[in-house]
Amino acid sequence: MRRRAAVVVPAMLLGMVLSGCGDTAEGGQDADRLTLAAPRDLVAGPQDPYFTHQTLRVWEPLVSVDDKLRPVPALATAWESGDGGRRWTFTLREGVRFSDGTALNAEAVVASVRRFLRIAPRQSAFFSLDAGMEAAYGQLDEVRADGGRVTFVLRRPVADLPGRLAGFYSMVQSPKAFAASGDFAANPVGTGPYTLARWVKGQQAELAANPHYYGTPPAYKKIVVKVIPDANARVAALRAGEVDGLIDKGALLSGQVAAVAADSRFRVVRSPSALTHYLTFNGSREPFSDPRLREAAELAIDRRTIAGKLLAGTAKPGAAFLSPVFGDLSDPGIAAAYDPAKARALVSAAGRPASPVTILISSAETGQFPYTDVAEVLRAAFEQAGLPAKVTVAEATKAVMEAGDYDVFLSAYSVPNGDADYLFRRFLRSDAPWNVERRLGYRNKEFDTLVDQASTETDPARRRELYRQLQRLLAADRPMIPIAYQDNPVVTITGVGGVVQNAAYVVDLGKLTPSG
Amino acid sequence: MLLAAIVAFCGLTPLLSPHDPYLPDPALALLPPSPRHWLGTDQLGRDLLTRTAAAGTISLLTAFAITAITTTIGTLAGTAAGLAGGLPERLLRQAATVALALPGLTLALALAGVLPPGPGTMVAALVPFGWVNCGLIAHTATRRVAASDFVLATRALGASPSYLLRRTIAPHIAGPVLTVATADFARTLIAATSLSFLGIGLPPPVTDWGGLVNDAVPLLIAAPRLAIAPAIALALTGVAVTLIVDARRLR
Amino acid sequence: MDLVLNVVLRRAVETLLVLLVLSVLVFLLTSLAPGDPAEEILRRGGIQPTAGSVAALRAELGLDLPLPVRYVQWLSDVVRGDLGLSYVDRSPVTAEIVSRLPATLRLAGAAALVAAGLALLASLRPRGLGGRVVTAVTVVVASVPPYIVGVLMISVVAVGLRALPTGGDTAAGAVVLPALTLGLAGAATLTRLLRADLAQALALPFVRLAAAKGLSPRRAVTVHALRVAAPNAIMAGGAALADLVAGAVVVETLFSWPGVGQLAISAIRQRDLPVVQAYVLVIGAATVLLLALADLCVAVADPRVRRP
Repeated sequence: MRRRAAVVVPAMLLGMVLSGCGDTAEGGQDADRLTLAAPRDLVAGPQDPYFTHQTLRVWEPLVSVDDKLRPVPALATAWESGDGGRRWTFTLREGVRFSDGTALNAEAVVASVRRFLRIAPRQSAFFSLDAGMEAAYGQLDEVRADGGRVTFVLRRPVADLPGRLAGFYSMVQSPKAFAASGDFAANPVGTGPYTLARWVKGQQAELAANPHYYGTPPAYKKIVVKVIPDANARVAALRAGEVDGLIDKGALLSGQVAAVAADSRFRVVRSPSALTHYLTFNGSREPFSDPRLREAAELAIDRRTIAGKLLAGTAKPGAAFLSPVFGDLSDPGIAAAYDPAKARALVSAAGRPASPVTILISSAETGQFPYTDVAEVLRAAFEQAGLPAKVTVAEATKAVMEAGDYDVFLSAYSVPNGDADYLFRRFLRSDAPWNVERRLGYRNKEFDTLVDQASTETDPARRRELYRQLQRLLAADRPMIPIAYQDNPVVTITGVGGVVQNAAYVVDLGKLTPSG
Repeated sequence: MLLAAIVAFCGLTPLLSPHDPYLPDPALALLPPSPRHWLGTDQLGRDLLTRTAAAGTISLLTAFAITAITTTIGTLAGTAAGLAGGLPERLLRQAATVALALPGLTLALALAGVLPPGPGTMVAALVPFGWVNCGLIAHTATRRVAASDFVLATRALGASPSYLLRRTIAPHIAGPVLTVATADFARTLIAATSLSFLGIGLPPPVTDWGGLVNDAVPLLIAAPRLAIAPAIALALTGVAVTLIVDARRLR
Repeated sequence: MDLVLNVVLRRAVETLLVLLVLSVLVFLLTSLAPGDPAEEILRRGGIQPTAGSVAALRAELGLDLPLPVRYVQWLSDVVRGDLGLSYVDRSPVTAEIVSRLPATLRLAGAAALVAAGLALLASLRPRGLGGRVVTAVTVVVASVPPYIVGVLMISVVAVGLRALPTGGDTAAGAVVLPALTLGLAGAATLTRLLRADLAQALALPFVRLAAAKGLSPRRAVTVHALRVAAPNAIMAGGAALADLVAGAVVVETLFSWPGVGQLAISAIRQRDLPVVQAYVLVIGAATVLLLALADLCVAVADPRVRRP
């Protein structure tokens, strides 16, 4: 019996180990089946305004964005404005069917928009129907179907309605998908190349090819998207051959990119994203209420090193407030200066603060970006410029900031669509929630006026000039400074091709193909 | 011996090392081991050896301080309850049950999330749940000893309670308590570094071994030594502590 | 028999009291946390909260009632199985916990098997090769935090050897690595306690007498010593199991194991207090019951501890 005990336990363990060897054909074995992983659940469920993330391609919007955040056709093939920007008409693609076989028509689009209006404000796992929604539909007077076209009639001119609608806010699903409450009745019913076949919350989503898809049928009949929140576990699953690729925002940590890219089994695709790392100053208290010290802080920061070394080349050093993904709206004339000597001089002129400045970072973000490292480098840079500094990591940064208990806050922001106005209006206008609640203390009448002018200016050239003027103002006033423009690297095994990602982390799953 | 070596390493290296464990210099980032940097440098160009040692000092001090607090509380409470019996005893057992029942690490995480990070928060997060093992063992051992014939005999001979405590009970509970205290030290070390690993530990730039490992995770493929150095230090410490206790018990 | 019944009844009453205390603590934990839940919900809903809307929601949620009243309401909801709604997606917390609990139980059960098996092996044959190896391995593993062991296991076994899945719970054998990570750590504590008690028990006069009378060492251990050593080991086992469940938080996160621990971590990160509260309460209550059971076993196994 003694001996038996000695044998039974290892045998049991061995049995457990061996039983695990049966099923190794998880990923990549089957030619028309693909397994991917994402850091978060890309399905949010029937209570969510959208049910699934755009990247799963279950539903499609009227308008999408390209890698320069420019509006590009999706379900709408063309659009035109009239009445000085007060009326926008979208022409629908022909021959499109929902996954239940019914035809897409203008009435269905109108029903989807009306549902948004009815259930807003509603939170979402992706883009809540609040501020961005207000930007898209805030001026909407009427939406109506005429023939194969959809017309939005606005109360005030909006210069870039297609950009504001791009992506989530112009999602179209069959009216039959929705219950009377505005929740989903059952599964989503969209027009994309895939349908949601099965979903286990927080674990995985299974997509099946949509037999009614209007375009080229996708190469993979079935795609499983697993949820693997832990970055190390994600890359381990990729290297172990359990998944064929990693997609979505933050698929790879910046530190992991080089090692994964060096592995010949994988192909890393980097494309610029709308995500920018900003440093927000608390301008409502000493020392950064003094513009000279804000300038000193900016000059002390070596953005090239942060982007190149700390973010391991997955980002580009920040300069203009709008990142280059905004295309020609971004002002190329603004350069990031790095001048530690001048920073020191400015500090000694303005007077060295008695107590250390607090660099605040959020513990939620330290898992996505090497913010502890960046904060350390900022701290060292500030101290060399004569500003004593300390780093605070907080779980609830909002509460800390609303209490005014910080001096600079490092955080990353993105836009929900191709809407530049969003950043200015929600973050920095004198009455912007970010500005007021987080105690930025930024008040500039000229800025406010320019923001309002730019949002209604329909002439592209004049609008661009207004946005550049805004960025020059911000470069001088420095309520927030862009530290780096982040890319979003995604990866697949070399056997998978056709990986294209837009600036809003949407990888078109319908375009993935097996490749040699 | 091993433990002494680790303590000496942690204590002395930062003093002797020409490098500052907290001063970043990205120009020197991720250098491989060399005569100048024996273990190479980390992603911010800080000397890994010096950093491991500095983090070790923090880890050891935190774990030691917390264990000292929990052992004192546990032993006092356990012995007192064991001797007094009755209501205090039941109170202790129930308090222990509640403390054991709460998922310690998660609650510590939640607490650490609510309170500002720092050594005080670590103590607040780990002490309320850390004293239990010691308390229970001290209690059980006291009960056993108190019920044994020789204590009854000593008591019958008219020995004072303090004499009983010192001469009969203390020696008998010292062994189990020490065992548990040591296990607690290892556990606290793990719990405290786990908090840091999950990103809710001490505020930077100060960090412990868990924090070092956490920082190294993205670079696990590119520079595994960043994780291996603190992990080995942690493992050696844990093994050393355990071996010491086992050896003491055998003697 | 009467005595045992008496003990059972008393323990039952005490357990209920403990559960009550637990519920108060859990309630206080989240109701005293900084931040106004009403405001929190409104903000997440995308509304810029005004004083009026906050006040209205506070009234609706009953937040303006005195704390004791709110506690009683909350408790009566909890007793009826209603753990509230998540701040993040407004879904019922009970359903979420219930759907994830089996995964955690499966993991904890497998880990407990590993731990108990190894501890017995190491304790019963401490001088044997198996015992020595097990002891050495468990001591080393227990000295290293689970997150390091887990990362190592993933890198070596799953990625290097491709022998087992790296995580999740869908593939066959996925439970092995997390269970080993969790179980090995528990085994060391259990072994140490069990062995110390066994050694003490073996040294007891009556056991030595039995051995002197020709009883085989094996019987000495299994029949006599184990019985004497059991009480502490059972208590320690209870505590170790509680540790397992708490430790599962880290292991579940590392291995993407879809249990309640993973849920709790993401809830903490998102400040989803109702979920955190529910997790602490459910795990807490389960542990209380488990410990009560262990306590009962002690009472039954050790006549000296049993008291009228």
